[in-house]
Amino acid sequence: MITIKNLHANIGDKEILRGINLTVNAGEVHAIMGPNGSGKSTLANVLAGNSAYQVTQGEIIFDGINLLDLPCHERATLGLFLAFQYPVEIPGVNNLYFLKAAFNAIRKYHKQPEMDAFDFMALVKERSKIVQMDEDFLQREVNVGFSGGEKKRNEILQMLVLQPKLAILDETDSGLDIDALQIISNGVNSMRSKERSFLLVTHYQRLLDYIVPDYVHVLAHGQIIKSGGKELALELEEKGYGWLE
Amino acid sequence: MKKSEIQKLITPYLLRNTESYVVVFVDGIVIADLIPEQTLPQTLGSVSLSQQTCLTIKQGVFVPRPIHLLFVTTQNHANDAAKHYQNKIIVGAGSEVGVIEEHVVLNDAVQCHNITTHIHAKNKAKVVYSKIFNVTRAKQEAHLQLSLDAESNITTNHLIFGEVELQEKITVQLAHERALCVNNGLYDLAGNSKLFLDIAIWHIANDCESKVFFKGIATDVAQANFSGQITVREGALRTKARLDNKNLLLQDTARIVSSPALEIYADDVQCSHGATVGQLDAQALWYLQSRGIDADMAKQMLTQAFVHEIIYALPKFLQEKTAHNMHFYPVAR
Repeated sequence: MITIKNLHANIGDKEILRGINLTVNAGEVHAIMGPNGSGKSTLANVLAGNSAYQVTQGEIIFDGINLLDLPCHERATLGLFLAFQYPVEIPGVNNLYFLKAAFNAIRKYHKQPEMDAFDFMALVKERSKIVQMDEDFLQREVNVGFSGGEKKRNEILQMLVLQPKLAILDETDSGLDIDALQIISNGVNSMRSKERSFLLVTHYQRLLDYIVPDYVHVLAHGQIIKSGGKELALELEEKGYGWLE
Repeated sequence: MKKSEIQKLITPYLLRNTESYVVVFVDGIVIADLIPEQTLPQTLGSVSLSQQTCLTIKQGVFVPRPIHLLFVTTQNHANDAAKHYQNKIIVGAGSEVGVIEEHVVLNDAVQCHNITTHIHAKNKAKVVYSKIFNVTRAKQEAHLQLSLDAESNITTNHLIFGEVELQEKITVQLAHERALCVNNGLYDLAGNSKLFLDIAIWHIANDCESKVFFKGIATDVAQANFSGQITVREGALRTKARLDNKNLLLQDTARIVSSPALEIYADDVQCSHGATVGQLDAQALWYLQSRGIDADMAKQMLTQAFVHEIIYALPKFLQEKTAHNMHFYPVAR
């Protein structure tokens, strides 16, 4: 699905990623853990194509295509999705309109006709139920006045509607109470399949109780310093990150 | 020019899906009965041309359709030939009317227009006045004067599009009690546009209210200069006044200067003003693009979002005209 080779990236003059190597196969769930400032969010943003970061070395091959050659919207149309750590508020843009614009942009890229408004509405309503979002959220401005939990549920709703091949969840669990964490995990688990992969960026082991990963990687100082199975997360919970560095 | 030719020329400018009364001026001369079924009935009011164009609405009438004053220039003058228009609109006590003033130039010569419009709303009259300005190749100087009698209500909508050269002064005089004046506007400037807007609101009588809300967009090397001043004279007690101007620069070669001001000489008033000039939010652009929306479409969506609150406050038929005129509006909502 995705192969990351010797990836280096900067923000301004500061090097954040210092040679990341990672392969995620179709159907796998990988968790990226690590202390603050280790480069977890940078990795998520670089994969999705945030132009605030500069890639200085390495490559990212997604389904045989080098993502670094593509602008971020094309990466999304190919099936890559980033659930934001801090979803952006967009005053004046209706949430449903935004979802529909994104959905149809992806269809257009694949030379499929736009879905008609009635069918799209039915699809969105069905997916909203999975994350327990009321219909009135669809008619509000994108993320404006949403609580932290509502914003994260809105991210997962977008993922459920856009049906990406690879979903990257950037600290989607941060700031959530147990109920919201469960709702979001249900949303993610409902999408797990042999064809779809997930990259979960998280600080805490707690999320991994709900979304059980196949592999856990520890990121520190911009490199993956240890990889293991799901039991690695438990070990980290117990010992912290200090023993690895 | 034959009536049939004029009818053909003006057809693209007529309101669609909304019935209106149409008064057409060709090169300064009113053409009577151009469209018989859209002529303003004498029972409601009249249009006369003497020293100036005078639209008079009788007292106590409700004019069911907006009156569309369409000024068409067809003659080729020498470069910079000037045309002077003076319009007076008098709305009788207790009457209600909507008026649209639109200027259209149908030749290639550079024109200079000088337009003065005076609207007088008598006691308890309600007027919605809209001005659509999308004339290219013309320099326009305009002065809009609004006089409000007691408990009257005037709302103006200024819509300015494209590559324009316009200098406009709006003067509002609230000299009688409990009058309300709302001035909304939108400018969407491209190319080498130069816009100077100067708004002066005079609160003279007690218990009046004024609201000014203009939004502007500039791209290319367009320039806009907005200045708005509210003056509350001594004794204009319990005045409520608000003035807001928000601007969006789509390119760093465009330039907008906004200067709002308040001068208050009375106690017991509620007044506020604000102005912003900004660019599209980079985080919002990144968010939209991360969902598969390309950069151009993302910019369009955010620009539409910026003007949304002005457009949706307009009467329906103007929303349609506005969408039709705005250069970034091809996306259906």
